[in-house]
Amino acid sequence: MITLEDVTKTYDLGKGNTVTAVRGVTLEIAAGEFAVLIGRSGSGKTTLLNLAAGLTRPTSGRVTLDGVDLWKLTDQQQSYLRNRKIGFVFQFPSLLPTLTTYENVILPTMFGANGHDSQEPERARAMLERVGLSDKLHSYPRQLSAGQQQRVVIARSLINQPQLLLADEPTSNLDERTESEIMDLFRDLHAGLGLTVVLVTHTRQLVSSGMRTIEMADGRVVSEILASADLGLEAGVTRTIP
Amino acid sequence: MNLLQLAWKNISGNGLRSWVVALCALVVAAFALFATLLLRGAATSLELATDRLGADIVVVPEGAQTEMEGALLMGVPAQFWMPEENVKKLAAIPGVEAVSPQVYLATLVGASCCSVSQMFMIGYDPQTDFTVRPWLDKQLPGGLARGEVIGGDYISATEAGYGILVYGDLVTLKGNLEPTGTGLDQSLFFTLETAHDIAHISETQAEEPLVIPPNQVSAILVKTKPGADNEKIAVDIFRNLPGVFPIESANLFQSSRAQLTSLLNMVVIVMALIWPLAIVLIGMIYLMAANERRRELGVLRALGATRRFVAESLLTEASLLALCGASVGIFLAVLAIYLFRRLIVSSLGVPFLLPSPASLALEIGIGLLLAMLSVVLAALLPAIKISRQDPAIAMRE
Amino acid sequence: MKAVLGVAMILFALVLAIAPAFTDCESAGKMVTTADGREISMKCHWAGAAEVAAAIPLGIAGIYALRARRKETLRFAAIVGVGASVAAIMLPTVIIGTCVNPMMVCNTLMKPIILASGILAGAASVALFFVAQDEEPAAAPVAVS
Repeated sequence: MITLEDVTKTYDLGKGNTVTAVRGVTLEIAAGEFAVLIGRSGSGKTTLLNLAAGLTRPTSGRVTLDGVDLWKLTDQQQSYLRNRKIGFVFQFPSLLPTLTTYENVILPTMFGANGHDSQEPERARAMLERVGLSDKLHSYPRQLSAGQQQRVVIARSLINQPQLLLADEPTSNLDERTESEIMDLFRDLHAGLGLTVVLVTHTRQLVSSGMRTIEMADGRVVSEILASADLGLEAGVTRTIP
Repeated sequence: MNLLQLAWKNISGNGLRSWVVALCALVVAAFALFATLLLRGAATSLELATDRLGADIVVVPEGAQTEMEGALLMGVPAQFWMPEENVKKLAAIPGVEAVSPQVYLATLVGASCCSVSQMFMIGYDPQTDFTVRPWLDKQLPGGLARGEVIGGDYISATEAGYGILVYGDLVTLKGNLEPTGTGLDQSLFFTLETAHDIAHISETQAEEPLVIPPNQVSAILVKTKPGADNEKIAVDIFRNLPGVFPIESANLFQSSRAQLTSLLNMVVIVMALIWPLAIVLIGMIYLMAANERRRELGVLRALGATRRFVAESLLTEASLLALCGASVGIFLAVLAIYLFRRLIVSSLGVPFLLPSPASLALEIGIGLLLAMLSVVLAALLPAIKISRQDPAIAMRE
Repeated sequence: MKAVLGVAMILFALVLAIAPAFTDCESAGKMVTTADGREISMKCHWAGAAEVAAAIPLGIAGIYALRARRKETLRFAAIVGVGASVAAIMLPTVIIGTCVNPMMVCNTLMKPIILASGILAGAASVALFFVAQDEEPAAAPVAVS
């Protein structure tokens, strides 16, 4: 589904200072996978996710989505691809404060080039129901709890029926109980809709069976583990990358 | 939901910023329109007054120039006299085609309540007249008979619905002239015959008699031959007739024109100050707002908004605010001009005439366009800048 | 928003009540002398004085706009405001009128002030009618795309 080939990203901080967030990463995420990116803060997880979505241009290397080189596309084509194929869940509160829950959820349908789909309102309601917020259609983000807001974000990420869901520490602002609820939701979506999920987190506790765990440190992928169904994480297949 | 609705929701969600931007648009549009309407209204009014005078040169007694202008322009009653024989002398000057005398009379100040308390009255000679008749003919093809008068726009009949009491003489008001915004609106026109009748009756009927000195006139209107050099003729008149002053109609209302020019300069200066200031202020507000909303706009990009969409949504917001602010500003400017025009006329000393609906619409359109243009211009740079930003960087803390 | 409108309504009510006393013809020292030598006020004075009758309900409506929290009360205040504004506009134009001479102070100053205040107070009242909503619960607007 997504392929990163020897991708490096260096940020220019101005005044000649640069910082390299991702160094020569080669990675392939297959369709239907549930991949978890872990690592300390500053290890390059978020940048890797942004690179995978074409939100930032790699300094070197190639990023392809379904075989298409993202950086050979025009802004319009790239945006269209993001809009249709990728759902986003961010670490920070990302709902537009001036829009209601319902309006936030249908927001991504505005950007589609192919006009209006009559099923969108229906789908928005269905998505909100799926995340358990069908009674908050007309509430504004400030009237919702952090967990509820993040559920709305998940509903929004699904409105255009994407194949890939990218989530950047979606539970970092939430308490433990809400965190596990949100994680359950991601597992449900992965199992129920057959979505490819790439989730960034800083804690191993969220990793569970069937997930491919990719650990990053200092901009490099340092290990990959496939958690198996009955043996747990420790006994999984481990492959350490030099 | 579309771009416009999204922009509208963003506006209502960002109260203070929206108010400031809209207010800037309001001030620019209101000031521009108010000034334009005022200056153009004054200029039209001056043109009309000069036109209606219909003479190439107006000859008045020396020293009466300002009084004459005050009467024509602001309706301040004036009275001055010169010998009637000047009429013949003027007619003899080469290049002069026609001459016609007029007498100017003033009513008693504050003579009666609630009608025009100060009225400038013009008596003309129907035999030689070439200035009053052309526009009088439109309304009264037969001309004015003895005892009949025609009034400016403000004159209304006070006696029995048709007449006006002038120095105890009841005259019939035959009609009103179109408004000019000048003193002519509170003037009364009648023939010399009627003037002498009024003077005669006033001896017995009025508190104070109206005196028209025998063989005297107030002003003589001169029409020159086509192609003649008006300035040369004016100089000739000045040389040959002692005690008179010729005013070329092109030079008439000099002081008002000067007043208008200085007003225009002031407006230009103020505009030159506030317009760039407003653009810079709006630009700064947008730059700040765009920075504040970097993350939000990054999110939009991540959700699939194109660069163009982001820039367009910011510009749509700006235009909507400009439109709202400018509309209110224009409404206020038109309201102020319409309601307070007479106060402006009397305090600035320039005449004023409301523009026709068509030219008003045109000026409103230009005002709206100007406000929209300034706001869009101010928001353009920040909008392009933010839309070009790397979404991943925009979303970082 | 309703606070802004309420303050505007109260301000315009004050202008309507106070301004005529300083801008009618009588304030400029002009009165009618009758045949027997008595001085009586001209009608612009009465039109100006009557503005108080429009200003009081407008001011009260403005206070309600500031204080009231229920939608019905706010809307009622708005309707009273519109009515008072219309009355304020009608007094010097239709009901009583002003002096005949357009260049007298009641026509150049008093009437424009009354009309401007009346029109703007009316606009504020109409706006109040539409922004009025219950304040107690944190109810969100209903409109959806």
